[in-house]
Amino acid sequence: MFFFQFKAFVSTLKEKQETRVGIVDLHPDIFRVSPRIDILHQNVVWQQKYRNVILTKQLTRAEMPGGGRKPWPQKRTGRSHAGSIRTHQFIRGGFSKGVRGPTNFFYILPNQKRIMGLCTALTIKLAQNGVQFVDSLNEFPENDPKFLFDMAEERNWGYSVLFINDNDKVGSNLVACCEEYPWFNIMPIYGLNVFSILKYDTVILSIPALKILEERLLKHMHQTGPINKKFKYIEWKERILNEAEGEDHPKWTPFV
Amino acid sequence: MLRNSLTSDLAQSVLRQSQRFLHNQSSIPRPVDDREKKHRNHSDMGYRFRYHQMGVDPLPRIPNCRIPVPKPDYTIRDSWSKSQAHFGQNDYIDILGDGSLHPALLQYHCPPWLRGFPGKKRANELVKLIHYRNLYADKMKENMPRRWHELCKRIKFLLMHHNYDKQDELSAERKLGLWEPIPDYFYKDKSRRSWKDPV
Repeated sequence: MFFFQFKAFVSTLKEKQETRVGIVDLHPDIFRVSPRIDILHQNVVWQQKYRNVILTKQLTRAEMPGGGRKPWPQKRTGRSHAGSIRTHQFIRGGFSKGVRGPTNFFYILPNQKRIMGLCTALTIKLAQNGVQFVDSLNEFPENDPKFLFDMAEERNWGYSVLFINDNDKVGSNLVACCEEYPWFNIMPIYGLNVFSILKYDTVILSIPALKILEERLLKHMHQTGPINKKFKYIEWKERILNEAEGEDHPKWTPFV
Repeated sequence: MLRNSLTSDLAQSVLRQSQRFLHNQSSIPRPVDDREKKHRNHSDMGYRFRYHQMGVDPLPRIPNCRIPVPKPDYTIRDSWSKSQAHFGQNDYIDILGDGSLHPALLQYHCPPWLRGFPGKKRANELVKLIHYRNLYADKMKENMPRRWHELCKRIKFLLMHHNYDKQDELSAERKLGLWEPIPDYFYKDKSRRSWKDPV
């Protein structure tokens, strides 16, 4: 239960100094959740791991060439018994229980945990004064990168800044300025993620982006149906393979 | 002299006490000699306090040697490069997007047959290879018979291992979401002594 409305100041990018042009209401289920650090950690670990792919393949004795002949007789030579030169105890032999083939580490963290991770990250960032709200990103006045740099200094944004817009189209002035400094970046709202929220010193949300963020997170929190809908490969298999149709060689199959 | 003898007595008593404290011998007479006697007695637990030689020893180096010590190359890691600055950009696109996309669809660095397929910790090598065989069997038979032979050989080997050496893993495999949920006709009850036993 919350007995008062959480609010935040809205500033504008038209001037270098921080000028407050309004106040915006923040939803407590997103910006005032109890900070579950364990879930935050699970989210970061998931983001780093689920994309990993191993392409190493250590060949077994069956897959290495040769080795069909018994190298020396079983007895009376004084040497160890050996049936093939490709067994694992030989140098230039195969590997038993080695790293096998192209594998991935893919898994999808449950939706509830990912939503909780996003809310926790936003809550913590807001409590540390690391989330700022601006009315629009398109009204950045000048094409001068120094202006953006000075603005960050003036407003105490810190080293790195992430601008979040509601869609992937931003005014050319801000884009030109951000291309100059690699630590100033722009993302659409669907690109927001826990790793970036933690990585950047300040996250700047435009008001339309905030509206979309709240709408979509609340929709996923309160939708009907199973709470933890599992990711099943069979549901996505057809679409994934259809989209990758032209990637395979017409004659050869991919490396396994 | 007196002092020396005193100190030595003290030291011996301390040593004896510590040895008694760390006893590794049985006081009960046994028909066979105590097995623990021949074990090494760790009086200092592997730790030696170097009172007169504090600090860390320098690494063993030959003085005036011209050959540089081999070491890995110095790499500059740019954490604000384009890919690093946007790391994880589309990981929440199924929640924050309009619902048409999913991160499993965007694993473009992955070969297409592994895209969205459960990873190493969930699906074992056998499951993965059977999935590959289901997709590419015809093409492999046609064009690369040697690779097809090796694949079949590996699957056969893993199936033997699965059937004879391992516990029932089909129940775990069913949770991967690779198949339609059908009743398990191949349930392997390991509590029975053999498959010939009556149920």
